[in-house]
Amino acid sequence: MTSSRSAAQTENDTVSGVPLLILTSLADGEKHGHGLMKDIERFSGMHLGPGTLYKAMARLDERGLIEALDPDARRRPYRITSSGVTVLERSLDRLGQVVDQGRQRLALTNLRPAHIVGWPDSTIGVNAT
Amino acid sequence: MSSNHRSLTRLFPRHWRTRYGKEIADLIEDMKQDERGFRLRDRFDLARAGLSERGAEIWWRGAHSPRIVALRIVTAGTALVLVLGSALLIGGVFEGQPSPSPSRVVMTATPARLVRVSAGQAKVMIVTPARLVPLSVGPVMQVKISVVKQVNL
Repeated sequence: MTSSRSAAQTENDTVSGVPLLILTSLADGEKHGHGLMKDIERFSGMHLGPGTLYKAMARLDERGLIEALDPDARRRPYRITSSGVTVLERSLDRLGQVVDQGRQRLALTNLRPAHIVGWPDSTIGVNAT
Repeated sequence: MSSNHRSLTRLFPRHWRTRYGKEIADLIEDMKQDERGFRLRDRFDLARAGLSERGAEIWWRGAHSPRIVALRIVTAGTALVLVLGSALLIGGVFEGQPSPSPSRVVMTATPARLVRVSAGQAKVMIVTPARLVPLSVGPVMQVKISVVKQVNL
């Protein structure tokens, strides 16, 4: 049931926030909870609490984006599924668009003469009409 | 895992503990061995996630279980009482605010009402047959009260 549900959902599914960090961390290989926590802290600077981490992992597991493997010693590693890879790629594309838009708009804002009162804001942005 | 941590994980629903309880216990043990340690902030995070999962269980899952339905009713009733109580309390606080001018209070009241005015240290009570309702509908008259000294009734 989970796989059919996840297959249907991954059509336009994206993730953000903590789930995005988890999928990004798992993109280069399987990790257990503590390894995930340390890796995310290293590449994003965010320390995730154990509750936040496992709550997000449980949701991703339910959606079929990650899966638990057999326990290695006393730890249970997780890995990203093929659906998870698809969702991660789509999410990173969307995020990239936002980043590009933000940088472009910031660049235009920095070019705007600050001393001119009433400068039309509609000129800011590539898609502005 | 200490009893303190065990009690934190007990905030999670049973099925959640069955699935992830041991992994969280192992994670806590790993965190304790780190230089960073398992901090108060992490305990709060665990408690918050547990309560959140418990809430999700009540409101989104297990919809037909009698226990869950009872929990929903109790939770909704408590929330309703809290909201109504807060509204009444806030209304009372605003109603009882002292006049900006302690020496002279001008107020509007319906006739035949109980009026209580707080102005600085002075308290004036006009005893009339009914209780004042500030936004009452009906004939309104102007009452001017000059507060000179405290009046004990």
